[in-house]
Amino acid sequence: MNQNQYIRQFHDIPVPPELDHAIRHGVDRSGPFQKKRRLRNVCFKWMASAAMAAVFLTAGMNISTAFAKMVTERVPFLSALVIASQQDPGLKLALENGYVQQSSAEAIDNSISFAVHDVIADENKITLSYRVALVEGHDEFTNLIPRRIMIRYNGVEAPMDFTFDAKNDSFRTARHAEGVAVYSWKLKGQELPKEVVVAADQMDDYPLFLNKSGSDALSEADRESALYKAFNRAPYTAAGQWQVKIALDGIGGKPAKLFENIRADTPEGSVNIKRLEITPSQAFLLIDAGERVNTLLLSDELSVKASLADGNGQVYQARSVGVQDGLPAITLESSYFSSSNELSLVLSGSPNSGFKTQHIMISDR
Amino acid sequence: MDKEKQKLVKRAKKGDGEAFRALMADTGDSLYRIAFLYVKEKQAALDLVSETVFKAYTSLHTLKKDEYFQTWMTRILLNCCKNFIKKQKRTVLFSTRSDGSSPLDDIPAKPAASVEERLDLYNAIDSLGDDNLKSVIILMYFRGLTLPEIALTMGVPEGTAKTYLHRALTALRTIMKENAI
Repeated sequence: MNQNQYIRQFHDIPVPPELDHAIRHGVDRSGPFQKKRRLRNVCFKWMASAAMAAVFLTAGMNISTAFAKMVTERVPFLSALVIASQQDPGLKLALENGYVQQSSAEAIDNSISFAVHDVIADENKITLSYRVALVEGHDEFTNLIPRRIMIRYNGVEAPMDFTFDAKNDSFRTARHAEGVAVYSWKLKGQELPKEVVVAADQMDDYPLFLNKSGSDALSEADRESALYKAFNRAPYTAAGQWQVKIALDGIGGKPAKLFENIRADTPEGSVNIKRLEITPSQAFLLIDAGERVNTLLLSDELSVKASLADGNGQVYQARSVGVQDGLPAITLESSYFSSSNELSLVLSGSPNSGFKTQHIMISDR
Repeated sequence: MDKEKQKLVKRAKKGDGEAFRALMADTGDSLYRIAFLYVKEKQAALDLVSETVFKAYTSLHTLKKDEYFQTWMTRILLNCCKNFIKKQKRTVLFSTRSDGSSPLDDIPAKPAASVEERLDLYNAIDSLGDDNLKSVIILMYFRGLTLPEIALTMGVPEGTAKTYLHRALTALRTIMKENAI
């Protein structure tokens, strides 16, 4: 055997252009798991606790009449985005300032309805509330959730991260499920797409999924079903084509607030806010606080946390921490619609970190 | 692995997707080719690479030595390939496609290498029933790794890798002799 010949043969295997997409798809799929691991202690409250917030809301949330009217005049319930906003001051301010595209888009297939109600979008990401409801029949199902939610825009198709509320008893009895779907699209200076399509193709019944997802729990009849043969996941799957078009003409056009190279000397060392970009949906902070504090900001225990605070005493928490150019890159709740002109960065240490809380003024105008 | 790549691995471990994609720009082609040798079908090989990337990026924090990134990725890919083959429940994969074409069509014909030359080992590895034997042949003859590198990639002692190689070569000689008759 001539080994060189085989090695040459190996390198002659043509690599298809779709490989890039396959790799990107793999990275995108693992994104939520990465975040989940890294953000054990970071507040991504509005995503994680939508179910709790829903219970809280139905128990009688203290929101203004005008706000309640604004968010419920279209549909007779509070959408998941509104529920989520109770845990995210930036999102709540955006809704209160009318920075929301309300939609009545609904697709019905296989006697199941998929609808999108509230949409917030800017150059960083799009966030929307969706609702899946059983229209008729499907007596075996109680609480359907999408297998995946895809977004299509400008020739791009990508999966969205989404929450669902399977723990809420009221949803089980009401035979519908709702949640928030998010996609970070990084338009890099391009304008918001004029229109997006949000689509789902399979729905899973959550209780049945829990009971039957182990192969032992599937009966012979289950295995013989056409759905099992098609999707390998019956009897808890309903198939269909649900896609809704959403025009984004009512939002956008809000320029980002940008702060660059703000330096401050603190007792913990010199801090350089290299970039703070605040858009309606999020704030992005790139910071160099010296090697020790950078490491603490990035540590799995997150022994130093960053947040923003405005002059009204409102605090905007960090949602995720990553690395860019070797520096901590932190995404926070947005202070974009704050009525206060004051804004500070707060670096606070956990009790064991030995780090004293630092306030760095960003804007006092 | 050079320092620059180790830095990328460190950044990727912190959740920097761009850094991970930059690493994959180097590693992706090789992973795809190994997967293709296993399954001999473009779409299945792409799916296997995508699954490998998903698994690797999800558990990147468990990689202890950054310099072994490529080896670690290859090991994940091999496990994905083995699982894939188990699911297919067949030992000879995709000898022909549904449209009647041959996977060999995907390899560009080169004047220096005749069809017969390309047919021998390339086809014979599909006849190896044991996935470990298939892995050792792909890694040694097509990927050009040394025995210690193969052992590291497969996560087995060097002696075991040597045994696999010996058994694989014995089996291949038999298969290829039968084909020659």
